[in-house]
Amino acid sequence: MADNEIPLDKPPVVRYYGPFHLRKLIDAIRGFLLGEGFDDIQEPSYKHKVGGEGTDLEIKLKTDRKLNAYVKYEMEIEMRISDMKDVEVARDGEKLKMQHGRVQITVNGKTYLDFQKHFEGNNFLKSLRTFYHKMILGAKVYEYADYIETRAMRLQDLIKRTLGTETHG
Amino acid sequence: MAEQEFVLDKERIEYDGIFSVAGLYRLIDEWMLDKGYSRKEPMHTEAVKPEGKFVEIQLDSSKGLSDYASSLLKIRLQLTGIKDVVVESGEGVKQRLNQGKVIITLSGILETDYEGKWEGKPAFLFLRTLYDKYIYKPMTGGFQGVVRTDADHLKNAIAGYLNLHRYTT
Repeated sequence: MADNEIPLDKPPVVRYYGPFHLRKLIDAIRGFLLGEGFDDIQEPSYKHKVGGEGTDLEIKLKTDRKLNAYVKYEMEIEMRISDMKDVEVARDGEKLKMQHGRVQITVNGKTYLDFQKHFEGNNFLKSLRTFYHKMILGAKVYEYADYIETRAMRLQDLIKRTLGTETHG
Repeated sequence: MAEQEFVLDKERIEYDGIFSVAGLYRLIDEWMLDKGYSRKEPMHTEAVKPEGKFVEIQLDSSKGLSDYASSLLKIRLQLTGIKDVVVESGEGVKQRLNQGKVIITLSGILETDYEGKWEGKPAFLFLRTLYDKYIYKPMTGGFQGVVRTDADHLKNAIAGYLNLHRYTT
């Protein structure tokens, strides 16, 4: 790992089996990212397969946010849904059209320092960058990394809430 | 990787009966906040089954004790056969709670060199072992006590919460 990339220590994972609302789930994730200032949400991968047990979906969402000229955050959300079927669920006397299946969502994030690669030219510049991170930025580096950790946890919580799990903060 | 010493290894709490899943989760969450632990939820699994919900949550919480040592509490909650029930308290107030089986495993770990500063070269690693064994030992004893006290306190809080719920159905 390069010294200018700080990945999440443990990317949070949510696994769920049961009824859920796919549209609401995707909208909630997109809404959260946009609300946090992550724009230009890309979908680098979208796989859709119809099988005997139901539909299998694999969606990747990737986005980034530039904090300043030196620091950039990147978030990648990987959704794997298998055996998905359309179902009708009765909730509070109301019939709702939902989906039923297995969901696994991984929230990944990374903090990039020197994302414009000003210090990438040669080994001297790279050493200078290490010195800058260790001696000048110091604890600020952890603060930068903390931001993405917190956002990943909040998104995990939102996903849990949207899926209707028993526990969320 | 940091050096890990298990002060408390997989202590179990088992309970079968009426409780609140959200309440139990909140209790652990608030306890961590009160004691200055940062919380991470690397894994959350939930499945809606005909016999009741299955929930498995892995929580990792850590607190720095010094620049060199930190306390790490690993909690695994396994909830099976979780069903919604409505119970009436002594004053006739109706409450929505859950019924099911709870298994909680709790480990208390003392982590030294958690920032991995002594791991650059084999010689440093050797020095760290000497440092841990002969120089830092008196301090470690105190830190072990902190980890044990915190883990016991959390265990008692959970046990108390589960046993203090008495309702008439």
